[in-house]
Amino acid sequence: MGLRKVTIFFAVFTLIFYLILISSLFSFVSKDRFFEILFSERTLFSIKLSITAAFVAVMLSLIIALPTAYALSRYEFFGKKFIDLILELPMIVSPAALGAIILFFFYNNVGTWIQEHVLQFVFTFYGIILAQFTTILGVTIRMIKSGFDDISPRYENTARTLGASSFQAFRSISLPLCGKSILATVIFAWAKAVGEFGATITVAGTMAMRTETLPVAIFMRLSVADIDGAVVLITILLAIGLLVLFIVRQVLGGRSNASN
Amino acid sequence: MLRINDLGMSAGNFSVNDISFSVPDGCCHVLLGGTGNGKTLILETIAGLRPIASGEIWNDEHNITKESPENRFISYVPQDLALFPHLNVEKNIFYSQRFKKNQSRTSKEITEIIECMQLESLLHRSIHNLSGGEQQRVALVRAFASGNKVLLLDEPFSALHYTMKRTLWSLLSDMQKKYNLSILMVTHDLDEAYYLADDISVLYQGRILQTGTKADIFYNPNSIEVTKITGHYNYFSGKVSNVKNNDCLVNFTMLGTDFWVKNIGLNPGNEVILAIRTSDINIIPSSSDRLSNRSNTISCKIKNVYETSHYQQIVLANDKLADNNRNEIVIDIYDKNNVRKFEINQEVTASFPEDAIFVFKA
Repeated sequence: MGLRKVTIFFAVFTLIFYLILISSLFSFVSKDRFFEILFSERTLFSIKLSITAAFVAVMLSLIIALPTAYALSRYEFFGKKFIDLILELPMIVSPAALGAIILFFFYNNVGTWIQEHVLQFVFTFYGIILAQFTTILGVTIRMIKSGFDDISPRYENTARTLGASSFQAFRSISLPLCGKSILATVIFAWAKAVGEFGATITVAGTMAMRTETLPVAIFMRLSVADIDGAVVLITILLAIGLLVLFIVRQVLGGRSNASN
Repeated sequence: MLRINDLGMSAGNFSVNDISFSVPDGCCHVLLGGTGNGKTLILETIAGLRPIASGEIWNDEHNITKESPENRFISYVPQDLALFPHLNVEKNIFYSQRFKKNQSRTSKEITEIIECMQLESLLHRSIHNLSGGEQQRVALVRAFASGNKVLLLDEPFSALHYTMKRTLWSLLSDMQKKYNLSILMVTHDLDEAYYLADDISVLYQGRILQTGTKADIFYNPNSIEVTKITGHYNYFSGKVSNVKNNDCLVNFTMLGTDFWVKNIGLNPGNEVILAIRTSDINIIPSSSDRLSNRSNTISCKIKNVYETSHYQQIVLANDKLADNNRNEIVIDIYDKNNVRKFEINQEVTASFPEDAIFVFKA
């Protein structure tokens, strides 16, 4: 057997492995029961909560990520390497540990003051947003930075000599050139936030119809042996994930034309 | 007018120092030099894209040393042109109008420039669908359209075919005269430098070796390094044996002969290096007595003959050259209307005209 056949065999094996796992889901639930659970008030609440919280978390992370990614891509400054290192934190630390860190923060003096005078985070909708924001911020900055890295600074430099200020050059040149990367990052980070479990459950807890995001709902239904319910929610998460991957690939299709 | 006084800057371990020259209105100043000698660094510093270590930059009566790039009123066309890939040709050209409403040229003027550069039919094209020559023209028009009177061009035509280069040289030259622009240009191409330049500065290892008119630089080089950057030369080392009035006799042991050369303050015993352009040496068959009785001649054999589309290259050798581990004398003959037949191993006489010989202290 030649190398081509061996390697293709393993590639096909990978596809079959995942298809078998996914298809096994549907042996547990009938079509009628599937749609009954899908359109139940509790499931629709979880979907709505997950989508809303993830959207807010992504928008907040974008506000921080855009200037941070630009600074990391374009400038040399004191502490740059440390910032770059800290971005890895959400990727290497378990989400549960990250959630625990957030939780501990709200039990120190500053955290308690914030809870009492600014906003209640622990076991609330805002806690979900904070947990998702903390988890996705690093990856959002990384992905947008990579987009800016692909754009030659010569474009902005030339724009400056043609009369644009640094902000105008950023807005008229780098931002539109990085548009596809930013859009792909937003979609990817949103999907990651929707699927976030460890930090969310630690900070926001497991309160039905209050902090029950899709992953938390799966956990809650499995814990009471509601297999039908868990299968429906897992299918929704899978559908969101595959849809997002498809959109990201479509968006990034012609990205490389600015990387001279 | 662009005026540079004692400019100094650095990038990593490399630094450029003591750069001074001026580019009057309507003039083109060319920076010549090999790769890695700081030419692009100088342009980027003048454009305000790199920090300056010392010196001053003046645009007319304004000291712009500390100004941001957009307030220097200097357009810069980098080597890769940096045409904005998300904008079409028209939007690239009119880009400066978004920001410089007062200083920018009028739409009528820009339309005239577009017509001059024959870009009318390409205005709605994507940058990606342009040929190299078309992209060069768009980059130049975009720089002209900004209304800036000073243009910095970094090897603008390096990637183009010779015919296209010639067309663009002429267009650039016309535009420069029409709009009275000061152009500072970096190039490796000696033809391009001679065609476009009024003045030239030769850069070597981050310093200017010589600044002057193009005739000065090409026909009165002040050092061996300048000759290496401004043309194809033969080099031979020798020793002064006699000094008489304005001339001195130099013994070139490696050629096995003595030549009379212009005295540049030499004394007997001084070690010198002779430089002569490959195109300045005359060659005739030894059977002819037209040159053989003159001074500064040498008998050789033809070792090789090469031909390009516009010149013949003859490589000469003799026993003395071989004895001195110096292999050859290279002669380039550009007279294509009078192509002479040369055979390998043919005996010939090479004549080194005194006024074409440059002598430098070793």
